[in-house]
Amino acid sequence: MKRYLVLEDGFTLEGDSLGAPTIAAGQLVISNNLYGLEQTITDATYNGQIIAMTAPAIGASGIDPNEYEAINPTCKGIIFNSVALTSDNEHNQSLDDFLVSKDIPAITNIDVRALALHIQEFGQLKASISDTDDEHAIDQIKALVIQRDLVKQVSTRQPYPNPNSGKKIVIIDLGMKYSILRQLSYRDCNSIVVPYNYSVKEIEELNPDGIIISNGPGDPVNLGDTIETVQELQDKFPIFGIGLGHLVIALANNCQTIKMTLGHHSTSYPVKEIASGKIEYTNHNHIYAISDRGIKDAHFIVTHICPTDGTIEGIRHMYKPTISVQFDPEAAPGAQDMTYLFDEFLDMISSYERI
Amino acid sequence: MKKNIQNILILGSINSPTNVDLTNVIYRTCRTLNNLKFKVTLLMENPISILTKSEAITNLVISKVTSDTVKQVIEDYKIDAIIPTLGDRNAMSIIASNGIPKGVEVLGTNQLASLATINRDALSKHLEYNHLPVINYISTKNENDVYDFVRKNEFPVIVRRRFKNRMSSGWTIIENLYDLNNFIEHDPDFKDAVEIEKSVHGQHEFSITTLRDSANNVNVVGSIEDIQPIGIHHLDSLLVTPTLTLTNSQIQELRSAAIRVAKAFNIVGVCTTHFALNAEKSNEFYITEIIPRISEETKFLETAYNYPISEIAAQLNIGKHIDKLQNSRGEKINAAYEPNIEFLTMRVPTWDNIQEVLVNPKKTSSGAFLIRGTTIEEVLKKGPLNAKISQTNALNSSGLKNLNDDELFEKIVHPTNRQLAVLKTALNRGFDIPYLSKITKIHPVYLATLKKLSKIKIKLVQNKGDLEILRTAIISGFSIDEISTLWEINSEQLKELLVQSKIDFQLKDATFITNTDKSLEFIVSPGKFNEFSYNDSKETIAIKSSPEMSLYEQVRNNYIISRIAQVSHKNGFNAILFDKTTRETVNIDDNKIARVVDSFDEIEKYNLFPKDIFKHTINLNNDFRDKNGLLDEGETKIFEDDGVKNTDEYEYCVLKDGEKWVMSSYVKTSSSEDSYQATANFKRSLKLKKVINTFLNKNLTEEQKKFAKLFNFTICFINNEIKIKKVSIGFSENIVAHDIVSSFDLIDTYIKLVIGIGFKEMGLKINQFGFVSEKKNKEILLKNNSFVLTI
Amino acid sequence: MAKEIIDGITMQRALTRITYEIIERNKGIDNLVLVGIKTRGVFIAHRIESRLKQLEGITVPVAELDITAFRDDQETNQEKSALDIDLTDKNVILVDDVLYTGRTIRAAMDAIIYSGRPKKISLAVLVDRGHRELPIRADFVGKNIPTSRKEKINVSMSEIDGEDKIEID
Repeated sequence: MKRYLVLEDGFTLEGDSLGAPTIAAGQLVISNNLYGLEQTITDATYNGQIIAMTAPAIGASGIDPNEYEAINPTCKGIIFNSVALTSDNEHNQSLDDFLVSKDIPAITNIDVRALALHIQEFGQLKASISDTDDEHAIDQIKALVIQRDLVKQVSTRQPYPNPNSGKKIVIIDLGMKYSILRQLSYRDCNSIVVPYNYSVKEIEELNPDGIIISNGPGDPVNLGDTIETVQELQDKFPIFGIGLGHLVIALANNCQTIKMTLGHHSTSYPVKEIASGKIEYTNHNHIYAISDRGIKDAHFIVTHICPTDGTIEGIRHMYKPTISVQFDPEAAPGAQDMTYLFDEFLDMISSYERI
Repeated sequence: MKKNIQNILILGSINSPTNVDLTNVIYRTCRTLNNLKFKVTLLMENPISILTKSEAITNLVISKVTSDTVKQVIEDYKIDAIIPTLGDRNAMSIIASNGIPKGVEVLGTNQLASLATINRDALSKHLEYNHLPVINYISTKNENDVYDFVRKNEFPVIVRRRFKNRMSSGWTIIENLYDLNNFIEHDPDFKDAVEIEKSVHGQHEFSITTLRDSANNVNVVGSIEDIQPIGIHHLDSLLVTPTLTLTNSQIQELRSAAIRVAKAFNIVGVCTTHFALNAEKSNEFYITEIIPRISEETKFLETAYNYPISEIAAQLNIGKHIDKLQNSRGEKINAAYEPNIEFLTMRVPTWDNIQEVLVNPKKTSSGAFLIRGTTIEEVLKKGPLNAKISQTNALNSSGLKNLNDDELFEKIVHPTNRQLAVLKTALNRGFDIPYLSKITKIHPVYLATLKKLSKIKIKLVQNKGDLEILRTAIISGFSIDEISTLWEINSEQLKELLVQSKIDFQLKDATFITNTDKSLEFIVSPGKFNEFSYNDSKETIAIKSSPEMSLYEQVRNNYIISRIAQVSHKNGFNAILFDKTTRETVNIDDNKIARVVDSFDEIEKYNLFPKDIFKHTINLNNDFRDKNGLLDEGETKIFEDDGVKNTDEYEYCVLKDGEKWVMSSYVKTSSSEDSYQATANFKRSLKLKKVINTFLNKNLTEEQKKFAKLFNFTICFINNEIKIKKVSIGFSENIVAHDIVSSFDLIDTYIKLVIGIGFKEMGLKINQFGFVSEKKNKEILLKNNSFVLTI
Repeated sequence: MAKEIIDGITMQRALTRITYEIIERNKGIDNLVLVGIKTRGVFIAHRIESRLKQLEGITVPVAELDITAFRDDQETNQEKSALDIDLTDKNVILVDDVLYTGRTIRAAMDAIIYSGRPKKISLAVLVDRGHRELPIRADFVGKNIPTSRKEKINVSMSEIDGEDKIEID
């Protein structure tokens, strides 16, 4: 059954349908993830987006529910370069069944090179998965308005605990990946996940040792409330920002964010730690980044950059116990080289307590 | 940067047809080091193919590579550092035996890592010390130890005896107590030590290649999945990259382990780690081997991802950091990224004879080719199941149809190099996929893909003209020829149908989209954009080739292709290589040649090029099925006289334009003196000229007279008479030597002849004896294993 | 029997963290001088200095201190010599590998004050193993490793020992 990928500037591609038979529309993002299909699909950072995957022959290992990063995926649709036949493995669900059960439409056998070349030239575009590629479909996608409350859609409604015996960590959920909780669990942290708009007073009442601001979807400038909360919190508690959280911290300190042309979307992208010169690889999934301007004035030290294009990947406040990174150190999917950043955060909390 | 290193010695590999061909890698390493202002000395056994770019090599020593010769060379040339990673196992054993004098630094590997490559004990001990999972292994003379081991580790195990002369018997699989007792009975007193190891036979095999620099930064270049399980040597089975059947946690565990291996053995450079993964207990894996040098795996990954592993490894070896390297043009590059690609790449092994061969843990194949595609179906159809690549042994399945189910089953449990054909037949007969997967230990995805291909074929036959099935077939890699045959129409009619279903064939660049260093390789694939363009105002030379059967042919063809690229660039011509598979990038001077991968040799049918692109074609195929046999430059014999015999044979290389001819050089092989000489210092002989002239006037067909440009005359001088033993057209086995010693630029002249420029226009002055005389010419002389190159 | 308890990579990260904390508490690195106590303290001081250079682009001076002349547990005829750097008005960070009884640090402070009048002296150590005999505490600690008096902590550094690691004996 044929299906079409229609971009807002009229560029269309033809492919074969897969997954749910519905149509969908959203911001198109190109992901170079080689592994970890389950994690990619269930990552809340992709809320409202159509993911185009460039890796070939995806899906041969089936879908393993132990690898989910959220119970329900919130991406709008998926475009595949090509899909491998499902294995007849009893344990794992096939890709097609999974997509149908989660109501996600997909197209396969799309010429992703042509798509990537087009995006490289014309920038980020909206796209839709549709059954036709005529004028009507193009008009529809042009008219689509990208929602601004993407974080609200995926953030938890009620706070919930992940009890343990170690340090007390509060996580402000902007679309948190479960692997953040997994990493904290390994370190015996007593965690509590709270909604994106929890107030400063409510967080203080929980008496945290440290606060993590999680990853999530969308443009950080839409999170006015969270930014104000962070401005107050950073004077009182050690803070660790990841992904969207990193950008929120930057905005809370009067820095600026920029939108990159293609962004970094890969399971294994390099990051260089400036102090030691070490280069390691980890999962990246971001279109926005912090701009170089105003970093020094905001009293931040740049701790990590990307050696490929010089993007700022990590910052640390000079006087306050605030660290944050643009990439995903919990790395699901992707290279586990940088999960130690969670240890660093806990060490920072210990040092802070000693003063 | 390491301090005070000026003179580096590179150890080359030994002369063996089963070894991987590292000529190109050695070129590039020497060139990289030369650019960084080091003096490079190269020690190797086979001189001929390396000679062309001797400018990058300060000293070339031809001799057997042994500890003694290495010590001698170190002394003679005041070597400060040695790079053994291009010399395969032989060089590793020299380092492992600690034969390098103090004061000379070993780069790229070290004594421990080299020992671990060849000695199981050293590998296991060090891996255990670093808490890495290693296969349990003991070596003992005590019977109790053997049974203790079996109690702890369970069957199956493998055993062998180690004899006093350091040799050992082969490994035997022991599946149960009965077999074990039988084995012990052969030598119940344990006169020889018994080695026993947990068997990983039948487990899935993977390998990961890493690069580590002196600042402890480790980068994973790529991972390779072996489709066929352990028990079949990995170079005899189908390899694919990136891995397809691993989940994210599994691949990340293997990745972390590979990084730890590189750090544990302190390897500054390239290292490949092999893993065995237990399919039943999916997160249990073992490290089976480490390879701290350039190998088949690194060559595969280098071509698959267009990531110059050999050049990067050379710079890491001397201490540079991975984000501060240089490319071959001296520009600063950052190599700190893990390569990615939108295509699957598969390595298909080839055997140089068409006999059916049982496959086992020892390597039997002699070569391989690479094939790319977007789906597994496409890669299988264009590669191992491709009838146009005659070396594939997978296809000879005619005999299989007559076997009954039991006989077929026999063939499944004892796999040969025709395993794919056997599996296809079994699947067509309705053998169950989970069942077949359990016996062969091949992941069900590949079996399901084979079955799907058969189903598509059946659907094509049953639904002639159906556009949907046409689209599915094209995406799954079926060729225009096959579909038109099945539909009983001609290719023009099929092209009409393709237009109707809006399928367009395009040329896609095989370099990953964010990689700015283009590989110039283009794959034919259905799609939306054509990414290939060339300047059609220039003359274009098209080269057609196919995967070669033997190593020597491969070296020869690679050399010819790179020389043609060099010459075309110099003269302002376009050179395009039309190949059926992905070829290792060959570039002597950094002149890349554009390559179009046309696996079914159907390029004319896709309307991607104007018809006259093939006006000047050089055909390197040696395909006996090729209709153009007469004009194949892959050496075609046109005359032979068995009666002419002599210990000394002279092969004269002759170039001919429409009217005149000229001798470029000759190669003299003498079996009595055991020598080989190549030179362009001719003796003046009118008799010789007459003999050749007569032959060229009388014995050629019209077509040969018109088109053939390069002849090889094998001549014997018997009793003052000149007798022709053999005449062939095309590039002979000795073309490399001819090109090196020739008094004029042989390939340059040849190319101009192909374009249609005659000798007169080129300004070539041929004397009355049939050659071009120059004062001094290079000479190559190989005698009694010692080599002399005179200029 | 020596057992490795901290590996090279963790040691490196601890040094990086100390560097960040130094910047944080000193609100920048003006007037900073690192004084390393021989022998390994000096290497640690140099490593901190190179990280500071990478991050802030400024070179911080590193001085080497030999405290044998100032020890209180040995009779020495060594002359009390001044450091070759002027420490007046500077923010001194004393650097050592292991903090144990505190006597070495007291001797170091004597040496510093003998050589000038620094504005402030802070202490950075890679390992704090407890059991102080004097009222001395570290401002920046890499790792806290509680030990018994019978045990011994060995810090190896690649500059002189070939590899980075911390062992307990």
